[in-house]
Amino acid sequence: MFKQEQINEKGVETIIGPSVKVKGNFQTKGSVQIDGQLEGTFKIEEDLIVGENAKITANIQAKKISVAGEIKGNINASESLTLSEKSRIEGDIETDVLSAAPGAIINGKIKMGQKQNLEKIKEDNIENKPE
Amino acid sequence: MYYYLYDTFLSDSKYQKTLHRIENRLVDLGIDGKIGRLSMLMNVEKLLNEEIKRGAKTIIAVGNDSTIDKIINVAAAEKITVGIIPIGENNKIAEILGIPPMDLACDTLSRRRVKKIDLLKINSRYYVMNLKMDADKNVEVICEDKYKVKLTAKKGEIYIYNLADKEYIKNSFKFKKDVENFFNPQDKMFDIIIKPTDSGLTDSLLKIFKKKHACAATLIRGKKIKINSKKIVSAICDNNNIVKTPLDIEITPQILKIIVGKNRKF
Repeated sequence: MFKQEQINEKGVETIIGPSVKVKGNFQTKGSVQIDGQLEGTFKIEEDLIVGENAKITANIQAKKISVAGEIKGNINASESLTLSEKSRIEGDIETDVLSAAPGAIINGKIKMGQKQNLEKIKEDNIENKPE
Repeated sequence: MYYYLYDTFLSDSKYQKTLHRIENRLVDLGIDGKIGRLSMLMNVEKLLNEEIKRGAKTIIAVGNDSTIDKIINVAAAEKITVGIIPIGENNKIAEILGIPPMDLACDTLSRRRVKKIDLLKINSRYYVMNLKMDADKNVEVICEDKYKVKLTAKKGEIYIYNLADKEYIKNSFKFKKDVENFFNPQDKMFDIIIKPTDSGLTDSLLKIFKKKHACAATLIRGKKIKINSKKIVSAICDNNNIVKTPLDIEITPQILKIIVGKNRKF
């Protein structure tokens, strides 16, 4: 079976439970777990776990993102994005590492390896630097 | 100089032996002081302000959580150290601060381990521990003026914690996560828990069959929130005072100096 939980649940700082709806500009420094509904903009400095019953309508930015629910909006996962079999994404994805289980639905553009490209350009620049 | 404030319920004869034991122990430890006895019609804040003018540097609440509630507003405003000698029931604050009951508390007081703690400021009044209220879809929590949180369940409960027994919280709300760094009265933040209430047998059966949501509670940290509702809703602060919506709640960092025990739960 596809393993969704790459992110340590114990380290989560904010939990949006299944019985609430959050609307607005949500920003936090720690990791977040969402099992409820969220609408607006969403920026976190650490990791994000999106549970099976979660419904998100927002552009999302985080380090590692693990999705089992629905997201309508663009996703920017600076380190990795993991999509489980029931996940559904309606939006563009930008990440370095993408893992998608069979059954995961993505309707949008996927852009990958930006960080690696940048590192390669940096390395090339260093190598080609005139002495 | 120590000032000991005895709560009204201690005038009951059943507490006299305990009070004698406490007074003797305080003399033995060399920390005895002036005693004030509260009565129903007394203005506590006026009394305390007069004693502070006369030189009281430490106010000891002799009683329970309700006694502490009566003194913290003056103590926080005047930067006076607070101590507790817990007697009788409803002594949750003392328990979390690691203060043993009755005459055993005297030894903790004499060691004078003082910590600065945060207080919840709710509609311009200070509280040590928490706020609890029932909620429905018409209640909204506005966090840091940036986002709103509303219940999608028919009914639920909202809790705001500054100081709490972490073990109790973990077991009550079934959090999978580690709450060790939460519910700390020195972290300059409060913790908001929003939890749905089961609407009866159907909900309970659904939970069993669908195995849904081991933890149904929401946990958010904050410094400043507003709670609004279409109809006026009551909330209870520190298990003692009733306040009504709209509520302005903020954390006041490390404003109260309080004597704690080594077995404190934070």
